[in-house]
Amino acid sequence: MNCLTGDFEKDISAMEALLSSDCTVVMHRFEPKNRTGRVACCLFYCDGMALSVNINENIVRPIVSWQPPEGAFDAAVMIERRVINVAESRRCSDMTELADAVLYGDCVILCRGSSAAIVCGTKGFMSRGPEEPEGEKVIRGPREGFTEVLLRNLSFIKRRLRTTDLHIELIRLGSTSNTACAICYLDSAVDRIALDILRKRLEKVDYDGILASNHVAEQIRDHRFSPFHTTGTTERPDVACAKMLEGRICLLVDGSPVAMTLPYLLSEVFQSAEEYYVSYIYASISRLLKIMGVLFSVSVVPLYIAIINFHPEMLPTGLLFSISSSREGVPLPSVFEALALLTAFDILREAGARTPSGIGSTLSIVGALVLGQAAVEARFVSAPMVIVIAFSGITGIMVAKMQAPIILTRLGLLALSATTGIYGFMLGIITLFSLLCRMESFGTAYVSGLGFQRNRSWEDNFIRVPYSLMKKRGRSLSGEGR
Amino acid sequence: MKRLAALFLIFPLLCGCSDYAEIDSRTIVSGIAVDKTPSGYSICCEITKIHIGSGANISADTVSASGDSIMNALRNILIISGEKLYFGHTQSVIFGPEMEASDIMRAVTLFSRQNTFQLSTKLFTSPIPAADILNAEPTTEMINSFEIAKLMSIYSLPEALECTLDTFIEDYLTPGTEVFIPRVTQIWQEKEHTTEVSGISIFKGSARAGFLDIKYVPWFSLARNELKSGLINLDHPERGSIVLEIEECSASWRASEEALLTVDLDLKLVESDSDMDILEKDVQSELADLAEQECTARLGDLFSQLQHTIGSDAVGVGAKIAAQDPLLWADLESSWAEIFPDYVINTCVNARVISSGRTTGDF
Repeated sequence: MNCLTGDFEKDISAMEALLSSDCTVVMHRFEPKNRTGRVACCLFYCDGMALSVNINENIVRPIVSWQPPEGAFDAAVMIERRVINVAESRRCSDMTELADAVLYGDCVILCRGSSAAIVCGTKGFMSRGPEEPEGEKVIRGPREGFTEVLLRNLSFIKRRLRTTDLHIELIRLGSTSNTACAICYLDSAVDRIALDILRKRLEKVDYDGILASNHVAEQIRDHRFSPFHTTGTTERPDVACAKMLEGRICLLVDGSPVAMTLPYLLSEVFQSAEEYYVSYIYASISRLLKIMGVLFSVSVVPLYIAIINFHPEMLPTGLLFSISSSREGVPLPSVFEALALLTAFDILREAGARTPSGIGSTLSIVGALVLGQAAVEARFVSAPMVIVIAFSGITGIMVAKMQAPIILTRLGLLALSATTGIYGFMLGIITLFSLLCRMESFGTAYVSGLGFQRNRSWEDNFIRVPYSLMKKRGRSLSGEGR
Repeated sequence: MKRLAALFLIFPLLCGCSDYAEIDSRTIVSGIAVDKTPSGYSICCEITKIHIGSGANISADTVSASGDSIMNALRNILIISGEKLYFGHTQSVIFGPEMEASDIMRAVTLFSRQNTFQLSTKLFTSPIPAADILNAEPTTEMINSFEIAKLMSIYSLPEALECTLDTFIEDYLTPGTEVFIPRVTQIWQEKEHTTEVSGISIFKGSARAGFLDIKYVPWFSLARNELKSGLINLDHPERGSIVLEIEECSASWRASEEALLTVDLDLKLVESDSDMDILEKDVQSELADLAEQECTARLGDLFSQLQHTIGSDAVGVGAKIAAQDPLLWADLESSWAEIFPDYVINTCVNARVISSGRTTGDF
C-alpha cells in the first residue's frame, strides 16, 4: 500500500506523479489568511468531474478565511470537522485510493503536518436524465428508466422499496476501470443459493474494463455458449423492483443504464412490463400470443420445408396444387430459397433497427414491397415461401429478448427438416427441450415454473392471474414464497 | 452428449432421405384405372399437370401401360412418364370388370403398401373398362378423378355410399363381413358422356359375388347404420303420393339364433299431393305406420337380394353376431357362407313424424 508520509511537499509530489497522466486534474495550493505558514493545504480535483462551485464556496473559502487555533493540532482533523461545509467527507492515507477518488469526482485536500488527506464528496459530472427506455416502453406504466449513474439508479430502487429489508452491497470490478457495482436484493425473499453463487462468480471476474453490465453478465452467467440468456436485463426501475420482490437479485453496474436480474428463467422471456399495468385478461392473451409467436417463428419454416419436400401428402390437395404451381419455374431448391429469404429478412431487420425511424419505415416498405414482389414476379422465389418467411420473421419480433435463440433454433431445425423431414424436426424439438431442461440459472432450473407446480408459479407464467390471487412472493424461486 | 451426436449422425441414414423431392418435381397421380387384359394388366394413370401461375392452374393427362403384373404395369408407366409417380393425393382408383371378377385384392394390397398412398383414397368398380371412365371429359371439375371422387362426397345423397381403402381393408379383415365397392358407369346424356354411380358391387372374398342396384343402396346404408339422410316415398290410397324425409335414423342389431334389425326413424314431411293436416296426431300416426311398412318391405327386399341372389353378407350380420355372442359365432363362423342365405333376419321399424309444423300448403 502506498501511504502518505506526513511530509507535505513530498506527499504533493507523490500525488502529482500519480495523477500526472490526467491533464484535467487541478492542483491548487492555498492557506488561511491568518497565521500564514502554520497551516497549508493542497487541493486536488478533476476538472469536469467535480463541482467547482461547491469546492470554491464550501471548501476553499472556509479554509482561507479560517483562523487556526494556537497550539498543536492535526490540521486535517480540524479542517474536516470544523471548517469545510460538505456532507460527505472522510480521511484516508492510501494514495491509490486518494487518486481514485480524485478521478471519480471527489476532491482531496492534503494538509501540512497530517499523514491523512481529506476526501470530500464533490462529484458533479454531467449525466443523462432519466428517460423512458426505448426497448421497454409502456402505455400506462411509469416512464422512468435507469441512467448511467449508479447512485441515481440506486435511488430509483430505494424510492420504490422503502424498507430496511432492501440490502445493497457495493463492490468494484475491473482491474483498470475500477467500476462500482451494486448487488441489490430483498433479504427476506432472496434466493440464498443464487446469492452465494453470484458472490463467488463476481470474485472470479477477471477483466480490466467493465464498461457495461453485459461485460459482467457474460462472465458470470451459466451456459456461456448457449444462445438462451441465463441473466435478465431491464432498464426499468419498476421491473427491477418487481424482480427483487420475487426473490431475484438485481446487479447494477456504474456507467450502464441496464440492470441485470438473476436468476433468469425461460418463463421471464415472455413477460413484459406492460402486462403488469393493464387488465390481467389482456395481459394473459398478450402473453399467450407471444408464446405462440415464438413457437410459430421457430417451427413454421422448418415444418413448411419438411412437408413440401418429404410429406406433401399432409397438405390438402388444393394447397398442394397451389404451392406446386407457385414453385414452377423457381430455380433454387426450396431450402436454399428459405435460407436466402431468411437472410434477407434479417438483413432488412438489422438495417431498419440501426437507421433513424423515418428511414427505417421506408426501408421496410422497400424491402417488403420491392424486394418481395419483384423476387416473386421474377420467379427467384415462390410466393408461399415469402408468406411463410414473413410470418416467421414477424412472429419472431414479438419477443425481442428471444431473437438470437429464435434465429439459431430456426436454422438448426431448418437444417434437420431439410435433410430428414418431420423426423428431423421432431428430433430437433426433442433435443432443444432436453437441452433447455438441463440448463440452470444461478442454481435454479431454467425451465422452472413452466409446469403447474404446487408453488403456484404458474400464476405468472403462461398467463397472469389477478393480483388478488397472487398472495405470495418469491414464487418461482424459493418454493412456497413468503 | 456423445450419444446425441451419434444419433444425429446416423439419423439421416435411418430415415427417408430418399423421400426428398421438390414439390414441383413430383408427378402427382390423381386417379388410377386398373384393367385386366388377356395378356396381363393394363394401368391408366391420370397425371395432374400444374402450370405456372399465382393460383392452382391445373389440368390432367392420362398415361397408360401394360404388364404381366400390376407392379410391372406401374413400372412401365415410369418408363413412359420418366418421373417417379406420387400417389399421396390420388383421389380415385377404378377397377375394370375383369379385375373385380377375380383379382381385386391383389391390386388393393399393392396400393395399400405404397407408403404415400392415402387410406382415404376412394375405390370404384366399373362395368366398362376402367380406363374409359378415367379418360372421359370431366363436366364440373378440371380433373376427372376429382369429379368421380366428388360423387361420393355428396353428403345428403343416400346413394353415395363411399368405400375408401381403409374401410375396404377393415371390412375385408373383419370376420362376418364381406366388402363392397360402389360402381360408376358412363351414360350418354345431352351429347356427351357423364359418369354416374349405378349401384354397388358386392364381393365374396376377393371376387365379385353380385351387383346391388342403386335403388337398394339407401337401404343397404341404413342396414349398415351409415345412412345420414334420405327420402321415403309413400303411396297413400286416399291422400295420394307423400314424400317423407329421414331427418335422423339409427339401426341396431340384436343377433342370436335369428337376427333382429331394429330401425328408429325420425321423419318429416317434404311433399304431399293432398292438403292433409300433419299436426293431427292421427295423421302423424298413420304416416308413421305407412313409413314403417315401406321400410320393412324395402329392407326385406334388400336382405332377399343379399341372401338369395348374391349370397354375400356385405351388411355384416356375421360381425354383429360375433360382437354380441362370440360363442354362437364360434359355431357359425366356419360355415357362415352356407348359413347366411337361410339365416332368419327380422326387421322392426319404429318411425315417428317430427317437425309437424312444416306442411306443404300453398302460400
